Parts: sequence; structure tokens; C-alpha cells
Amino acid sequence: MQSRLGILPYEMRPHNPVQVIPVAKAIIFLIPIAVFLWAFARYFSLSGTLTVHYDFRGESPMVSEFYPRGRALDREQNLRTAEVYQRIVGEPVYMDVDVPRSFDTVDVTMEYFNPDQSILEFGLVTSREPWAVALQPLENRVIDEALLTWNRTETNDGIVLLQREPLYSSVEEFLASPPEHHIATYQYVLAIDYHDPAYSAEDGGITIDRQLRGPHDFVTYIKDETLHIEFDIVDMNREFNVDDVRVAVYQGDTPVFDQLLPDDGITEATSVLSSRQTIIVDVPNLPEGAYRIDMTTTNDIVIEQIRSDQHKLVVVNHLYIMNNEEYRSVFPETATSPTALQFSGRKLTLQTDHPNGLQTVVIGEATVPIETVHSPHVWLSENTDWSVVETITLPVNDLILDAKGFFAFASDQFFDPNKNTEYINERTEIDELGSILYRNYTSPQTARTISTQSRTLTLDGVSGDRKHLTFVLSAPGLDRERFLLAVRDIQFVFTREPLVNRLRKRFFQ
Amino acid sequence: MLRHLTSILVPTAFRIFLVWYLIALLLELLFPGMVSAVIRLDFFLWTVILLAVFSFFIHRTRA
Repeated sequence: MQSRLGILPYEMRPHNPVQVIPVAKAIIFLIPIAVFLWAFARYFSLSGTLTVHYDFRGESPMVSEFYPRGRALDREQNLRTAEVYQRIVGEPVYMDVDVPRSFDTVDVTMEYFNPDQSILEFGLVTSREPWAVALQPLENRVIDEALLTWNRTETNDGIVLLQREPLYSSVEEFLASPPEHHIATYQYVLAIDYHDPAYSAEDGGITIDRQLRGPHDFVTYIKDETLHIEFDIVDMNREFNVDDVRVAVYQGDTPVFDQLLPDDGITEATSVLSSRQTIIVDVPNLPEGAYRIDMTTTNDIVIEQIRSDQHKLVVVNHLYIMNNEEYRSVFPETATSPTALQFSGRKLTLQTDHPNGLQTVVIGEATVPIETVHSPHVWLSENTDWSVVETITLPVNDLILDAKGFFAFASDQFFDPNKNTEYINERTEIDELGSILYRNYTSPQTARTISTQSRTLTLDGVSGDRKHLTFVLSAPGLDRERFLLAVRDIQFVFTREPLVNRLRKRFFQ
Repeated sequence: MLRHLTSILVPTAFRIFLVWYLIALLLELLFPGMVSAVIRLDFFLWTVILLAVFSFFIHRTRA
């Protein structure tokens, strides 16, 4: 092999390139394959997680900017720090995220600049028709301020009590005999044992002849009488779903009645109206007090009439009144006369999803023009007296009313089971409060001027295939007060069961 | 030796990266965000362009 000069041929020399080249070629070939396998596994979430990050530096194929224009400005760059951010000047604003698979939960981490806004909430649009949003707290300055100096007590299940003066040693003691001073709540429904010494049972009950769509919660009051209430319901079958109806009655958190009315058997969107059925709630021998009646169902279910032996009955937080020409084809007999409501609350959101529902709503002395469909119109009380009950007139109905408060269909039916309590809103003044009850909230971390907050949102209740998700950032009163809010970074970590576990469950269990 | 390796590997890398760049574009079209969430496609394109330029000069030097 050796040449006559004693030199090895080129191919036989040490570090022979002939051996190096295939290795180098293999590496060059394998690098893109490895990267693409990684991208594939990540995109299709083989491990069960998908991380989507957006820093507003450019466009992302999976995440949109905040919109609509006007409420959210164009992306901007701070030339001194090179940070890119998007300013929010109105609310609510939305952000779309497209994911290749449906997930169970998402952990959202947001970095933002918020010098003035007292309440920030972030959540998901869970349904578009009708419009429904689930919000979670990002920042609540009333609680943050109280946390600095007030006495703090917490239960095992995460209910926190803040007291200006430490009068109670536990949350249980507080709930057993709540104070007379103003109590604020947040992410928590305060079930104070309400008692009305002036109440007495009366003969002849009430009948509510308005069509209410979807789930509703009611509160009634009884004393030495049988709790009796009847709901006439029909199924519109407008959506592809199972329209079970569950009616449960609670005293505080204790259930006293539970009934399930199964679907009419039509799960397709046939728009065939089911026959009318009646759910009868009849519970004798209950002690005096306020009772909450929760009707859990889908938006295909319409309550056509409510009859009750009680004469106090209020609707809690959410009311969807139909009684509009829009539904004439489905309900030829529908009464489209105006609806008068009694309402207690300091903030009310009104929305219609149909052009026939455009109208001017009268709330006390104020008017709220509903001029666009699919967009929430907000009314805020100018009154500082918590006990004021406003009269609302809905000229043509077909409105979704959302509030932290109670609605009644007649003034003599109205009562406020949450007397002396207020759900914290952007107008809540900490000086007015003596104690705060809340849960599901931790203060954001703030470094210099940037706050960072993380929330876990469940995607279970989101309608559709859960691949096109719309997130909501709510900053109540931002536009009115001309406050500034800027978001500079947002990260979504979507989670579902890993592929291996799902395959194992499918084939081996 | 380095010159010899470069003259072989750069054109090889160009061909491989060009094919994968086209695959990446196709995948990005079909599954938006799949590739761009992992690598920056504009950097990928510049890599392919630089490899093409080097390959061209290597080819001319050989000729």
C-alpha cells in the first residue's frame, strides 16, 4: 500500500476525509429531521402540552393581537428600552389563539403595565350564540390594598376573609353572624342567612309570563310554608347538544332538592320545538330563610312560564329575556310587550344578538341605547346608596342582562338576600368597606413597573371544537377614566392528556 | 483537507436545507405555526441563500 516514497495514499491518511464526509453528511441530514420531529411532537402535543408565546414583536400564526381597533392600539416600541407592547384604551378586548388540537386547560401568563386601573380580568369566550364569557381575576387593587394592612384569615378551601378590624377569628364565625358594616365580595357568592322579620306567607302566588332562555338562578324566601315553584319549559333544539335540565334547591350551600329532566331525545339542530313540560319543585317543612334555585341547562331550553306559591322571587346575576319578534317563527304566541324589571346592582351589562333587539333601555332616570348587536352595553349606577332598587324598562326585550345583583319582575317580588354586601367593582372604595371575602385570587408580582400574573383557565365549558379560542381582557372603566394599560408579553401553556396515556386508555383499559 | 470537506459538504448542506425549507413552507401552510413556533423561517431562508452562494463559488473554483 505504501508508495515508493513512503507516503500513504490520500485515502489512507489519518483523519481520512472519506470517513469524515459520510458522518458530516449524516449530521447535516439529521439536524433538520430532528428539528422537524421536535416541531411535529410539539405541535401535535404528543407530551400533552403546547406552549404558545407572543411578545408582540411581529405577527404570530397562532396568536392575534388584541382587537378590536379603537379599543386596542397598534403595536408600539419603546425606543429606549426596545420593548414592544400593545396599548389598551377600551374594554373588553379580545385575542384569538388557534391551536391544532383541543385541550383541557390553559395556563396564561401575562406581563403588563398598569399604573391606574383597579380591576383587571382575563378569561375566555365560552359561547358565541348566545354570548357568554368566563373571566378570572388578574388584578384587584382593592384587595391588594387591603392585604397590606388588614387582618387576613383563610379557610381550608381557599376562602379568604380580610377585616379592617380583627373582629372574627375565622371565616366560619364571620359567616355565622356577619357584621352590620359593608362587606365586599370577589369571586365568591356570600350566602348570608337572610331573615326578614316583616315577612309572612300570603295566599295566592305569583306567575311570571316571560320567556327566559337558558340557565337561570333564582332566590325565593319562605316562612311557615311549602316551597313550591313550577317551571314550564320547552326545548328549541337549535344547537347540536343534549339539553338536560337540572333543577337544584340550596339553603346556603346545602342542597335540599335535586331533579333532572332528561333531553327530549333530539340532539340534532332540527329547530323542532319539543312539547311543553313542567318541572315541579315542591319541598315542604323547610325552615324560614332564603333558598336558591339553580336551573342548569343549555341555551336551547326556554322557560315559558314560572308559577310559585311564594311571593318573593328574584333572578340572580343573569337574565335572558326573549319575548321578541325574532322568535315569532318558533313561538307564534309570544307576547312582545315591554318588560319592567326591578334591579339592584351598581353595574349592568346589556346585549342583544339580533337586530330586532336594538332598542333604548330605560334604567331609572337614565337611558341606555342598544345600538349594535353582539356587543355589550354597560350601565353604571351613579348612586352611592347600595340599597337603591332601579326600575328597568325593556321596550322590545331580547336582551341578555348580566350583573352582580338581583332582578325581579315586580316590585313586591323583589328582595335583596345579599343586603349590605357588594361585589367588588371598579367603583368600590376601600374606605367604605369593613371586610372583604374572596377566593381564587392572588396578587400579581410587580417588578419595577411591570406586573406579571398567571391564571389557569379550564376549557371544558367552551363550546365548539376548542381549537379556535377567543380570550378576553376586561378592564372595567378603562375608557371612561382614560387610564393606560399596556401588554408586552403573553404565554399560553395548553394542557391535555399525553398521547401515550390516551392510547393506553383506549386500547388496554 | 478542510477545503476538500467544505467543497463536498456545503453543496450537500445546500441541497438538504433547500428541500427541508420547501417542506417547512408546505407544513407551515398546512399547519400554521407548526414550524415557525420552533425556528424562524426567515433565518432558515437566509441560511439556504448563504449556502447557495457558497456552493456557487465552490463550483466556480473547482471549474
